[in-house]
Amino acid sequence: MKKRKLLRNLTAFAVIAGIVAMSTLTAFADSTTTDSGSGTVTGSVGINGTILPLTISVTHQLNLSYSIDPNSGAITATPISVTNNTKVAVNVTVESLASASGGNIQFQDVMPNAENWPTLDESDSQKYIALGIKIADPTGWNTGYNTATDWAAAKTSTLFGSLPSGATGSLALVSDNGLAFNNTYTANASVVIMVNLV
Amino acid sequence: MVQSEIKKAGRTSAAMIVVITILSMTALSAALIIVLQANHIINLFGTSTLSTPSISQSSLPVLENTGSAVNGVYKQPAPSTQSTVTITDKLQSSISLTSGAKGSDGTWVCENALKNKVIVQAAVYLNNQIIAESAPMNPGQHIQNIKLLASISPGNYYATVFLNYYDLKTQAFISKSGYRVSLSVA
Repeated sequence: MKKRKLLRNLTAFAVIAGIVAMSTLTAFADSTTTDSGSGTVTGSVGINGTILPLTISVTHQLNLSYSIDPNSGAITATPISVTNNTKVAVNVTVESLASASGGNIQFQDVMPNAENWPTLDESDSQKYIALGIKIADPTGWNTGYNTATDWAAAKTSTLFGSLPSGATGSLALVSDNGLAFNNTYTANASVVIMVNLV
Repeated sequence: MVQSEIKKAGRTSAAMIVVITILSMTALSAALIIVLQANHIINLFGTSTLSTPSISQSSLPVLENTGSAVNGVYKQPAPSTQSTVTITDKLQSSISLTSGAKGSDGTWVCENALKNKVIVQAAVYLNNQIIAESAPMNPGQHIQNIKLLASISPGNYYATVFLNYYDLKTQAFISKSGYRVSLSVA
């Protein structure tokens, strides 16, 4: 009888001891221990970047026309406007400027100093012109733009300047020409504008 | 005696007739000169430089009432210039090719905006030689590829893209613009 009681007590003690031990272990598991020390940890993460090419977008005139009033000697032309829709600045270059066919006369491009313009007779007035292009005014252009005139007869490519994103700049036609026109004439010219990222 | 007196009287009469004739011719000449001078036919005194045909009184111009003139000085109107048409270009700044072999396709996007009223065709030039050409693009269309017309060695280049504009109806060439883009060939 005593042995059985002793056995029960031992069993109960063992159970209690087990429960206490488990609860103690659980308590240890919930706590954290921070050890201090020094060392080097290295890691490597691969990053693959894809960079898309920038889209260039420019709005410009498709055609232009000019007229010459020999009574005033002046050339009248629609300014050539260029708007930069690109996210960054772009350079604007006049790749070529030349008199073209299509009118009832076609001029021959010469330099301004090639002729004594006011003295040209009818024939030469309808034959020669010094056609040029330049920046009309500073509006829209970044500082440092080219103020020179690009003459058609020079047949050179001229960088005029850069346009910031969203800006509009304009170019204007200029000319030296004869005055002895005895009728109304039409004459064409072509200009090719080149654009590239700054 | 009587006969000699008769002869003398005859000579006197003849002389008088001659004198009268001379005086008459002189008077007529003077009158004619006055008339011609008045009509600027002759200029004896060097004061007139005009020389117009003799006009009879019946052929002088008569002022006709043919309309009314405008008061004031004529002012030359500003010469008319053609209306300008604008166009918006949109293209990638780089063309990428996985092969430089003739006939291979390069990756490149170019758009012809819907509001543009022209056909656009791109031509790519390298060292002034055409190396690629796009399909024609109507307004609202784009391309994503461009075919090589010539073989290119692998490398990185700068190429010139000319966008050629053509009339929608007649398909006639209008004008072009140029863009410098990078070109990479693997």
